[in-house]
Amino acid sequence: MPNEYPDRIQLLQGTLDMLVLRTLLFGPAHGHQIAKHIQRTTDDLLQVEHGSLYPALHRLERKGWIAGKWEIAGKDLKREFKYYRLTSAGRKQLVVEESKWKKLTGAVARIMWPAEER
Amino acid sequence: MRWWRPKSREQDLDRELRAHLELEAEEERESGLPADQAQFAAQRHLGNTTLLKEAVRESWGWASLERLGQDIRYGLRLLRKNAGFSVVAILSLALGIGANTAIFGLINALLLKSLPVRDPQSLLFIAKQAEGGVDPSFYYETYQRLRAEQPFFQELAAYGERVRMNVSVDGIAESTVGQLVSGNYYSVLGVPPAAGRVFNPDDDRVPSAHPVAVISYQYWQRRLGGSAAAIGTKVLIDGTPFTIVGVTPPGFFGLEVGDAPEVSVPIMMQPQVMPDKENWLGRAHNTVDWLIIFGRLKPGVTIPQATGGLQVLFRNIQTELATEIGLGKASWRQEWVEAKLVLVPGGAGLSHLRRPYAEALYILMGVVGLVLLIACANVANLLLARASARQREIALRLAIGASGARVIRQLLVESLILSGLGGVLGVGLSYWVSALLVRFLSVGGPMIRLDLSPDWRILGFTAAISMMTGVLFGLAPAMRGTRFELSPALKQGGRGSSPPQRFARALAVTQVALSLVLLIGAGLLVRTLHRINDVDGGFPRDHVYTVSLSPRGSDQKNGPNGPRLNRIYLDLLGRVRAIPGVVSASLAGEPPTMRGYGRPFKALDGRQFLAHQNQIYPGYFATLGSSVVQGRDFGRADIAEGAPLVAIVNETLARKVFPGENPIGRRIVCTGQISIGESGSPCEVIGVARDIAYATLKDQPQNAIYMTFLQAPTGRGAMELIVRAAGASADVHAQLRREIAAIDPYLPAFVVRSLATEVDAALMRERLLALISTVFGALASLLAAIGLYGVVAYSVSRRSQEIGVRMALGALPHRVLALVLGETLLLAGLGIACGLPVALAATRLLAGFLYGIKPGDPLVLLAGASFLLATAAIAGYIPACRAARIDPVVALRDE
Repeated sequence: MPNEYPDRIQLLQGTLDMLVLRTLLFGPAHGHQIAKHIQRTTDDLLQVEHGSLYPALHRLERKGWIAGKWEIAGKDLKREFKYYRLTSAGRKQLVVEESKWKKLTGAVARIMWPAEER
Repeated sequence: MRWWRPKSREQDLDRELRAHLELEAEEERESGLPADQAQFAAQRHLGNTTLLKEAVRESWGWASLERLGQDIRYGLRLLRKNAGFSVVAILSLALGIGANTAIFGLINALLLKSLPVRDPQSLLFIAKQAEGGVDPSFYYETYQRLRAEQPFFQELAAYGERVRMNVSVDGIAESTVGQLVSGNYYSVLGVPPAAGRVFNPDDDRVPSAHPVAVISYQYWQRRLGGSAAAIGTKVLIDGTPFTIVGVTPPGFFGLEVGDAPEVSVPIMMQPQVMPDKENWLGRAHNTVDWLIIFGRLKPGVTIPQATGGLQVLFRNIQTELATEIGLGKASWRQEWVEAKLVLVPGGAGLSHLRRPYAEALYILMGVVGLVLLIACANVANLLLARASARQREIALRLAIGASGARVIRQLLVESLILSGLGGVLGVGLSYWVSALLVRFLSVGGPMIRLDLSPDWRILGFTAAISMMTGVLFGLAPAMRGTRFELSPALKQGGRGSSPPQRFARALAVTQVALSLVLLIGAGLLVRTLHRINDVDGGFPRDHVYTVSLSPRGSDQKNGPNGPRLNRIYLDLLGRVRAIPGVVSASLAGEPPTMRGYGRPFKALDGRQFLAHQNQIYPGYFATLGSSVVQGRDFGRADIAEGAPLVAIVNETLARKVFPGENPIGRRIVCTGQISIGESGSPCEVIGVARDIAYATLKDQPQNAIYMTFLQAPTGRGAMELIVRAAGASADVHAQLRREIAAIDPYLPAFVVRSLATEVDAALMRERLLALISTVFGALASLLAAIGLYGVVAYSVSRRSQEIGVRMALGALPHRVLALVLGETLLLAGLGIACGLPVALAATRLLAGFLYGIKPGDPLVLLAGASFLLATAAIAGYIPACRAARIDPVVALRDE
């Protein structure tokens, strides 16, 4: 599929899981909300492919890091959404992913901008 | 919180995505898009829903049972739709899997299965190291002293050799297999009674004083109707009344696999149940090793500790006994005293069948393995042809978003269903095949009883090979079936694009090659059988009868009986020879088909050699159809009391021991035991007899020495009467029975057998191998022919247009015929070229089973190859004819 928005950045492999977990730290959310949250927070810079969001959600659910539950919501309180919330295992996993990410970006930064690093 | 639960994850996902789409569409509407376009935009953002769902399902993991169930349902529907294909595939797989399961079942029962006793793994047999294996039998007194003095085992128990017992229940006598067991036999094994009681040590204390018997469950059911009243009944065993005290459980067949003693009596009753043998309980006169000793180690004692300790104890006991019995300087004294002991794990029992049949069974396993491979190749070919017919369907599935892996999985599930059904059918088939095999093995000999009931090992084996075959024949076609360009496949009507013909051809060539291996193996084994049968010049064995006799008074204990027995036997021979239609008759100590073991001999000039020894009456060779080629046969004078001792040797012995010399007049002496407890005196060689091949069945015939009964007065207990008649005649049979009954009306039931049956029984292993390999060789060729036919027929149908053009341009039908036939023969030729080196290598494994023929015998190779070529020609002829009949007009218009 050609990229419709050339200024958007494709997500790095494996980072989507971390972003989903981080998003859910604010409280339960359904798939659409998660996608929108990531997009808005990054000023539409990060594009969350819906085609990969749902597989990711189900994968995380299977690993026990998030738990899904059907809730009534919407403007008229008539529609049902599957809300995902962070489990305690998910919280721990988020810490792990975060520290991994920090290490990675730190390492990349040291190579890219050696001068800035004293 | 919810009052309902989603029926399945599938529905759950649907709802989730639907909610997403609605929200997205709402947002688009709010941003100003008209309703219908908003819907479309939302859908576009989400992308390909099928693909998305597929990806989500992927995250649910492989083991999703729902999906598997779906695949299975779909696969079954397809198989039902193509019933013809399914039946052929399932049947050929069932045949392959069934044959494998049957042979594996035999291997399992004979070699792997544990005995149905308590903690079989801790059971140990004591044995002596012997040439080429172990000898587990011990002298009675050795057993008694070992048992009393050893500190390593919790307890030692023993059983004796198989005994043919003449058992009469309610006056009806029947020859039955029995055994002698120690009083603690059952308690050491941990075998409880199924009814009544089993023996205890008090049943086995005083010689000849415990007339009690324990019977097997099978015997209880068969002879005593399984009634509780049977406990306490009296039966006659070889004339002595015994009381039945108990019954063993149904699954217990004794410790020797393949052999099922039906009646067990205490060891102390040996003289009663073996009236034709000496008293083996005493210490004098004999050193027969006949008891098999076993037990379980005390906790904390290791096998090396026990072996070392027993060795010392054993040597002391044997040295003591050697002095007590007065072995003096007998040549085998040292061997007797110095035997090296080993402890043999007894979890799977001992088996006399194991040695001769284990190797044969492994060869058969290889044979049926090859057949299964060929069947797999066949089914793979069928699947391949079908995959190309299904190309459009598969292309469609790929186009609407199924991944390649997903389609391959679906196809694999289909092939696994095929192999699974084949496996289920195969298990049923195997039960029948192995029962047949066992019946075949029992011909002419005692009934072989094997516990063939399927256990986890057999079922696991079948499941494993079914799975393996499913993947084996399914994977390649599945991979090929999904690898093609989509659009041309979709455009063409169900015909599909380029066929995977090269692969199919390779499969057909492989089939031919494997079949050749089987055919050549079968050819060699069949030739071996012919060779062995031909050695004696092919005289009609049907008209030679043998009868085992043990008349009353042939009890060896009574030395003075010798002359009397001699008179009885001579009298019998006279009467039998007088029966009209009888050409000749003789008596021998051992049946002619007995495979002998070597006894040590010495020529008086010092040369030493081993030879099989048999004691015979005059006329033995002529009766068997053999002859004395040098010197003379025994005469009446040679067997008269006090005559000088004489011997006849066979050609092999003459050639090996007296190369280039005249053996006549040489004097030889047996330095071991001639017969029970007897050493030989020097005797003079008076003749050389032709080798009798089926007596040795080795590529190298063994040495044999024939002696008269003057050599040792014992050994006349069980005699073999051999009678040669002029033709098949029921009359001779009946008269023979009458004359034998006349010498002793109380003679235990005897059977008149033809030598043909005896030889067949002796050649069991060879016959079994030849038969099974021939059947499977033929089956393999048939499968290969079907494979070839399939490939060529398919190619003809695909090339009908090309052939039509050729014919339109003037090609004559017979040229077309030759073209197609040539293609078939080329494939077969390729297969043969590939198969020959494999066959040459594989048949070398058979070397030990061949007689008078070498593994690479050119005649057999040629026969195998030509048979396959002929089969291929027939397989190719049908499609070739169809090709020749193609109407160019129709073929050209077709496209």
